[in-house]
Amino acid sequence: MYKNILLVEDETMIAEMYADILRDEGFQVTVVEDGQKGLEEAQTGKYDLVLLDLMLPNVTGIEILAMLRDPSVSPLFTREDHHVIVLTNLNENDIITKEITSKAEGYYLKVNITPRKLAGIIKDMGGKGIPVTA
Amino acid sequence: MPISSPRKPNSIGLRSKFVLLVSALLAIIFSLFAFFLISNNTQTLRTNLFEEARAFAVLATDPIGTTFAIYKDSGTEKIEEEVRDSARLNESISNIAVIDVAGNLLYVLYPDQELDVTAEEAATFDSIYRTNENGVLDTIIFPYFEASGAHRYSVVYTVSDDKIEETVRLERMSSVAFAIFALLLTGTSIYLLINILIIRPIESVSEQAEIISSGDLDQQIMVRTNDEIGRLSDSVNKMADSLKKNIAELKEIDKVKSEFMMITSHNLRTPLTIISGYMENADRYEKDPVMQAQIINRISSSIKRLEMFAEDVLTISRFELGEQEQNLETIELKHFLENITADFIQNAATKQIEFITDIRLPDVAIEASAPHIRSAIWNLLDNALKFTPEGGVITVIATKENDKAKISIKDSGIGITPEELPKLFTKFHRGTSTLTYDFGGTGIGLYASKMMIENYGGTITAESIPGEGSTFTVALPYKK
Repeated sequence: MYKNILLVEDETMIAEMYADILRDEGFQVTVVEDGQKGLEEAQTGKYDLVLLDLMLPNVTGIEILAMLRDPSVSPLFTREDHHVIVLTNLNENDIITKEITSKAEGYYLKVNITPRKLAGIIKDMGGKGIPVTA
Repeated sequence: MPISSPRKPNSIGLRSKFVLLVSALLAIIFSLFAFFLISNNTQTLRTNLFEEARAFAVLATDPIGTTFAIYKDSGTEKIEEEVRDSARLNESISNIAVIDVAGNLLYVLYPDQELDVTAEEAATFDSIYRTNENGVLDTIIFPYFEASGAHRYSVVYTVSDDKIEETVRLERMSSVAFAIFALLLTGTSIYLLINILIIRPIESVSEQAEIISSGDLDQQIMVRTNDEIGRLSDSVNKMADSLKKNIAELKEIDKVKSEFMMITSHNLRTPLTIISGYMENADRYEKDPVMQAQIINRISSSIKRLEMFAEDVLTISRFELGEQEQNLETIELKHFLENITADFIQNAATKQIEFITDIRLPDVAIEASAPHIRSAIWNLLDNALKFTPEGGVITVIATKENDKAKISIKDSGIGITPEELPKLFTKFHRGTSTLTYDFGGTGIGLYASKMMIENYGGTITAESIPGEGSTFTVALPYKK
């Protein structure tokens, strides 16, 4: 079961909307609105799940994902114990979609995922990191 | 597109045609030339032969006749000696005979050769020049007059045209040899010249044009001659360039279209995400009126955002089609701007951003479509809020300046780089990657704002210091 969740989301209303419900469900949620800060925070290894937006200031979600999955750049963020769910409203091309699904444990369109649905998905995954795509 | 290797051009065909044409022309010219030369020469030789034989007859008749008259009764030895000596002087004379006026043969140098002289010919006082069937002189009958003036003998000269025939034969052979040599030399020179000046450039154009036609539009034809071939290669090069440009433009249009779809769906989904997310949890805030008010505010601002986005898209497509706005109304600016800024005060507070407004336009009105002006100002405020971090400041100042109402929106956000600044108001400006997060991140908002403001005679400008913030200024002519 996941405990510490990092939510990297620059849209304040969406960030608070997801954070509120996840906290209700018993998760510890930290919200970061900037790409660079989000990457640095995730690299500490404190969070077992990162909910990652793609369009972010300074560093994009795709760049963050690539760096988190590079052991030489993020040694504390391991594939076994640290998972990523990408949440976006952008339709990506096949190349980027493949890149995301190979590096993240989940990939969803935000417009389809209400906060309760998101909480359900996180609980179902239960820290096992079963890859799910949008 | 796969590029196939160019087909070997059919240069043999073109070359063969040239060789055939040149050879035929030269052969005709040389044949005519040789024929003319030979016949002209033959004629000259025949004239010369006639003249020489005539001169010979004039000169030789008297000594031969005299010798014959003196020695006719004392054997032929002396006569023969004289005749032989004379005959040696002209190679064309093959036989010499002496006849009497009745045509009887009195002496002949070579008896085996036939001599055919009529009595009439023998009796005449005039010299006779007889020609054969070809018009060539073959016999001269020259009368000999004694000192007394009596005509008792005539000397007959047989003229041979063997020498002429031989000369003509040699002439013909050398003419043919010369013609063949000249034909080869001229033919080769013409071929080489045509090859260098025409065939090779054509081959080169054809080969390279084939590469271009197979899809390699970067191929350039390197024929730089100042003639039709050079112009042809220039035209093909220009055609390839223009095709390349068209393809690039089409690709760009295609890219812009997919970006538009991407941005449109993103900009529709984001407020929908907020609306559906908060609606789902409306019951959660039942007992907290403050939170409930905030949720309603968020839902309504998301609906507003959807509305503004729809307005932007519609306006862009209408203005791009050249349609003019018909529904003009008088907008009292102070009240109008206060209404718009009110929408942002709550959102700014949520983000802990200080929102300062200073609207000093008590009696200023403009004539425009209210939804357009609202959408343009709303886009600028929405951007300012989006790019200003927590604890920042947004200042809206509206003043009257000359004959314009000036509205400036200043933020303390991330700012815009000098490179990005000129691209700010272009359609779908989003940098190179679709995920690049820049000031034009919403894609069409600033482009739409510019169109709307300019449609009513206004201007929209941006200034920025990266890291410190940006100022967007709208100037609109007011109604006097």
